Amino acid sequence: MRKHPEIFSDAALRHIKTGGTKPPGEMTASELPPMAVSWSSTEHLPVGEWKEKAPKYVRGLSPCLTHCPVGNDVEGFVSKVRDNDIETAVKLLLAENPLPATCGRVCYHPCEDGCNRKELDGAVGIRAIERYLGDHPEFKGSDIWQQAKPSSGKKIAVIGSGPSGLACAWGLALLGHKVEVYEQKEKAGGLLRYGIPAYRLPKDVLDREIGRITDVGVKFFYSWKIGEDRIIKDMLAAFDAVFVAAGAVKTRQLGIQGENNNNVWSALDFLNTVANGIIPDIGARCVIIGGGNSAVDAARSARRLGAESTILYRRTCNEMPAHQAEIDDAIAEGVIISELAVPLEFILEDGTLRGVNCLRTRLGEPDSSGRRKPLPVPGSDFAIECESVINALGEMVSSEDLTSNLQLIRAMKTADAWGKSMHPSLFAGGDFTGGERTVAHAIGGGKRAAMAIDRFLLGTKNESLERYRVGGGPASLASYLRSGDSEVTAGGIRTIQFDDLNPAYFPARERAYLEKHLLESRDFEFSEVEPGMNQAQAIEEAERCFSCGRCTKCGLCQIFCPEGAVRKNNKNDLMIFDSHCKGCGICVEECPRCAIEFREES
Amino acid sequence: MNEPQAQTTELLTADHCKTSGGHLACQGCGGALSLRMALQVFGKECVFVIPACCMAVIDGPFPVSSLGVPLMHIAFGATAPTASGIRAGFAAQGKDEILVVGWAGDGATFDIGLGAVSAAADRNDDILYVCYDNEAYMNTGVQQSGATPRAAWTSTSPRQAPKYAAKKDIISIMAAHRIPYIASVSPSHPDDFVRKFQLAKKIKGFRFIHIFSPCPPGQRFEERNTIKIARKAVESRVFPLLEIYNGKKLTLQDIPDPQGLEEYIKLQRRFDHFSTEDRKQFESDINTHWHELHDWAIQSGGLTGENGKRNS
Amino acid sequence: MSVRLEKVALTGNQALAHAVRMAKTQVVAAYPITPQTSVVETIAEFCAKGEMDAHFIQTESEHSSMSACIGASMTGARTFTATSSQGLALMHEMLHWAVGARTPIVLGEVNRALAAPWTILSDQSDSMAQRDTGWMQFYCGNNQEVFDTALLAFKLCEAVLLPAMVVLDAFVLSHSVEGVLLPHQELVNQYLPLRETLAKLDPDEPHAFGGMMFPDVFMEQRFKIEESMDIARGVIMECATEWDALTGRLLKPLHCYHTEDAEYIVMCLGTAFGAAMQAVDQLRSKGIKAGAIRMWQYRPFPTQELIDTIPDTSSLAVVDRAVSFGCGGPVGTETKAIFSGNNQVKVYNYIAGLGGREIRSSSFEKVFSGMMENTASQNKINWLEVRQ
Ligand SMILES: Cc1cc2nc3c(=O)[nH]c(=O)nc-3n(C[C@H](O)[C@H](O)[C@H](O)COP(=O)(O)OP(=O)(O)OC[C@H]3O[C@@H](n4cnc5c(N)ncnc54)[C@H](O)[C@@H]3O)c2cc1C
Ligand SMILES: Cc1ncc(C[n+]2csc(CCOP(=O)(O)OP(=O)(O)O)c2C)c(N)n1
Ligand SMILES: [Mg+2]
Repeated sequence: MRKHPEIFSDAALRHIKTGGTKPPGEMTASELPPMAVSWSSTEHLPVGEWKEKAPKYVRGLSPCLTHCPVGNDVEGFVSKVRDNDIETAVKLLLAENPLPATCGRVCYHPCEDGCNRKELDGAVGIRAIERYLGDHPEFKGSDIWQQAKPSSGKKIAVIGSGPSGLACAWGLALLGHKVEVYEQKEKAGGLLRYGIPAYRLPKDVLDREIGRITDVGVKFFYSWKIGEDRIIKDMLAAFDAVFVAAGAVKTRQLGIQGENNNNVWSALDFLNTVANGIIPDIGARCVIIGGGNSAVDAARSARRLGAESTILYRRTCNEMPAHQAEIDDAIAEGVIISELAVPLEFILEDGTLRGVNCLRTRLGEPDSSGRRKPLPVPGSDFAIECESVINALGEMVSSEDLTSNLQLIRAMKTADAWGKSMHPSLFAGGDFTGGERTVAHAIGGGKRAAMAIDRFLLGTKNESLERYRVGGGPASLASYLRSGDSEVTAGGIRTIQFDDLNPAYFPARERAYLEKHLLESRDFEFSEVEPGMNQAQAIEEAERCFSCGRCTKCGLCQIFCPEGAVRKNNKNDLMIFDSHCKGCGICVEECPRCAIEFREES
Repeated sequence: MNEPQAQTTELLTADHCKTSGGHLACQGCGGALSLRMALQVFGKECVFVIPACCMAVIDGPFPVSSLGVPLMHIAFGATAPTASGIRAGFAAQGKDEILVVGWAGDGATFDIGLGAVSAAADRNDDILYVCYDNEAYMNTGVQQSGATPRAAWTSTSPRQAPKYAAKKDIISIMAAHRIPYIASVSPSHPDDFVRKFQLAKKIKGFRFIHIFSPCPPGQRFEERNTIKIARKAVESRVFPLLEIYNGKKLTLQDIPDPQGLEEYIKLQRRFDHFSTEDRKQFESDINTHWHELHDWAIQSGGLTGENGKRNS
Repeated sequence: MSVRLEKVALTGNQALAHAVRMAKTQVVAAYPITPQTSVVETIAEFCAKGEMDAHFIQTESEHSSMSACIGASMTGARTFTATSSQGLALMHEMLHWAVGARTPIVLGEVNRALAAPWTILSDQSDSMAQRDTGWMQFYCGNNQEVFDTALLAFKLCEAVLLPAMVVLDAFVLSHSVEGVLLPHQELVNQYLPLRETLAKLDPDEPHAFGGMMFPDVFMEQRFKIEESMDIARGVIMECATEWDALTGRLLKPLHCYHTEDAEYIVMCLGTAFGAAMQAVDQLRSKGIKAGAIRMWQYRPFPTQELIDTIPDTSSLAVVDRAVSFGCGGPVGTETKAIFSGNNQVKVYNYIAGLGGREIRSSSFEKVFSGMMENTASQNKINWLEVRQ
């Protein structure tokens, strides 16, 4: 039977096979096929015009980033661990922080305090993950060195090898400068070595970290006491810049009778002695006065020397400035805390310490620190017997030890957040300049100073360093190194709160708990209390991270787009195809981590 | 729930076969989304039959089509037999490998086409019948269907004259036909969705998949909440995720600790008028259905976790 | 090719089933209803015995049978169904769909009156009620013609992309045995090669069929159906001529008996023609120039053939076995319209034989006398042999 062209014309067939260009409404009956049959997709229909709001991928900040005083790319390295990309994780970490193994042990982890996961089932164990990375034996300073800048020919002196000095030296080295570190002691590390006891921070760990810093070309000069062996003024002349990070190591006086007795130690002296491997004779009973970290560390160290140790604190445990976990551990190790007590005088018999006379206190109105003020309770005298006392009232800066030049002292005391002082080539940071006294803050200060010094030496003075702050907070050395904004340092970027997230995709998953090796007997035992994670544990813990505010390419936006308008471009980045997106907002609503925002169409 | 597994994401984001953008679904359409997801599982070797319903409009008017696979529009109650006819036509030409899919709304399935669906199931014709359920006749402007929950608002069940009966139990109806495979899925649970569609694709005979398919304009909620509502429906036991083999062996995704019913109701303005009584009745309908399924599961296929793995 | 013919005693329904078998129909979907049932029973038996390689689907309703046929036809398969009366009425929605989808389905329609009240006996009101759907319709006069028409219908439908009904009267044909010549299969193969389709459901060339059409094209679609009906008129002739050449049997839009010189003509569809011819003989023997016509091809309507056949100055009575209440018999009404501009041909419309009432030669004699004696009215519907 012949084909009837009126019914099914060649033109109609052609349209069906290859798609038509002529609008059907202009086609004659014979050009049209006999039935409604499609010949093109809907791709060209401008449905994108329906929308009132358009989704946009945006980078938000996870609170861990803004909380980290160091400026670590916390979410960055944690998510790399989650992806089992340990190498990148270590590099991300080292680009910001030369002391991950240290921070991974002793940092008070403000990142975890900020972590949104704590609203659900406990913050991500960031510190433990950092420690895992820091301990990874495969990565050396030279690995990160490859990212560094070429030599600048500039030379900088760093005074003090505590975390602040070390961080500054590391940053400067990465920026291509020659660095010389001057340290009065025989070894580097500052309080990391001579303050924080080995059961919390083993010295070989510290040695490895310092090794990494020497790897990148930093030179250390030990047993150089600035102020005596060399004076700052000369150094300012000899170096292009000087960074002072001499810490705060002078113990505050008790101001009571008998203080100078041989068996009354200052906490730092005591810890220093122990750290040097000398076992001081503290007798069977030791009283520690104070409520800070030094007090707790001294008390726990005393326990390890076999003494019964009692912390005498003028407020209650709740007000103790020491870190809660440390207090808990101390109690678990048998440290006694005598709350609401102040020492009145030492009981001496023929120059031998026998005990402390004390007075009870009660808590009054809050003072300027916000804590309730201890008020002595008249007539509440009591005595504690002991063979030794450790004064752990706290440490003070003594700039006078460094120089008698009042002008320089004033210059250093007024150093700003970037370590810049009134003297153009003199910079200062860490405990020495005040602010919060923690390892992380010290590192952050050192790092910022490194950037400020670099800028002073090479840059245009007017250029602000503020743009390298993460969400207006900590500074990012990595983006400074790239001398450009990174995603996290860009302005106007929002910090993501728990309510911004979509908890539907985060099933409850308990935080990893590792059994601590607390001191059990009175045996001399300075081995490490907290265990580290293995790779599997680190990955598992990293899997708990929400990656707040950062697109992880989980694909949910793509899966759930009814329009198929979410696509990947040739760089594998997700993008929204505007002419198909109708602006329903499912992607915005479903994004687990608030990395898509809804914006009014202009 | 978890983020989808890598292979799920890979499949559902692949370009090989999916509806093309530019289709005419309303913003946030759960049906259009499910269709795209299912197509990505099916691939190109399939043929669709779509009756009168929103999907018939969504695909696009002559001469466009969004589906990208052959599609036959058909009258409202005719999905299943048309699919059976296509299957027979292919069989006569030795094209047994082509998947024949009937894709129909709740109106077409629970109501006008029910007899025809039943017959095709009874013949165990080798077709995959999918009902995307938005719980009303949406295309005609939100009228009550057999799938409408008791007392929910539609334009023919206004608050003054609410729907008397609870949602029709289509799953049990289909199970009574002892067809090889029945599953219920929700687009909010992509792993489950993909697994069941993959399975259904492989099985021979009549397969029935029931999709929970939120409709923003018809159920009166904000477009962005489509997946949220679907998820809450599952998590609150409103829409149990299950599989039934040969009409007998039922495996149920257990929801030991139902959650979000309050929010499920609150998010949708079709429940706005609910009194405490309505609310109680609604919950009791859900519980009754859930416990029937639960008992059935315990006696036959058992309970599973979110991943489809049997709970021990 | 040797033309070996075999004469077999078959009912009309069996003849239809044989035609479907020999047409190598690939999909049959149907539902039982008296008096159609034996069509599909016979086919089911052919399939079961392996005499026919078709996929037989028994649906739960005629609506679904037609849906299944449409689906099957859309894959390119040759497709058949059969029904009657209530079944055809239930199919109505899908009959339209089959036309719009341009699926060349052949439907065996055994004429039975529509309820209420219940009856299973014949009239043509069921098929006549579907005359606007776009289906072609052929009303058969005997079982041989049923067989021949069915084969022609497949060939025709596939050429013009429209479906067709092969219509036969209940019981008189459907259940009455006549000798039917069955051609050799090879001859049928030659006449009716395998179906070829230009557009079908095919994953390699994915198209959507039957999507929405806006007013800018909908009417063109409808125009094309009408155009195809026009083309079909010619194609029917070609198919009939070819079949005539192969078998010596010519199917004609109008079967005429003594019409050349007739002054009074009766026209009917289906088996009533026998009685009409008897009446003509009776009148001719009295010297009256009587004639009779049987309309085989109802859709497309044989307008030109009628004009060419009906002598000027004659009177024509159209005897309808169906009625469009409030208007008249469908064929009568349409015939009147053709001759409305010709005041020399007088057209009368009779309603007769509803619900199985027998139309005898004496009935037709009354029709003739109505015209001759001017007792019949041209302007109103004449109900034959009704107790008024
Ligand atoms: C017992 C104890 C426990 C602590 N535990 C924690 C803890 O768990 N987590 C935490 O975050 N923080 C802790 N801290 C605080 C933390 O150790 C300090 O905030 C941090 O070490 C400050 O670093 P820095 O570099 O500014 O100073 P330091 O670490 O004090 O380093 C200063 C360095 O400068 C050297 N120096 C000083 N004067 C001169 C000079 N004139 N010439 C040459 N060199 C000089 C010193 O010898 C020293 O090496 C603890 C402190 C103490 C005392
Ligand atoms: C026989 C028949 N009756 C009524 C309609 C009108 N109609 C078209 S779509 C529809 C409702 C479809 O509802 P459902 O199947 O739930 O699909 P939805 O539109 O909700 O996606 C109705 C009533 C029709 N097309 N055919
Ligand atoms: Mg619906």
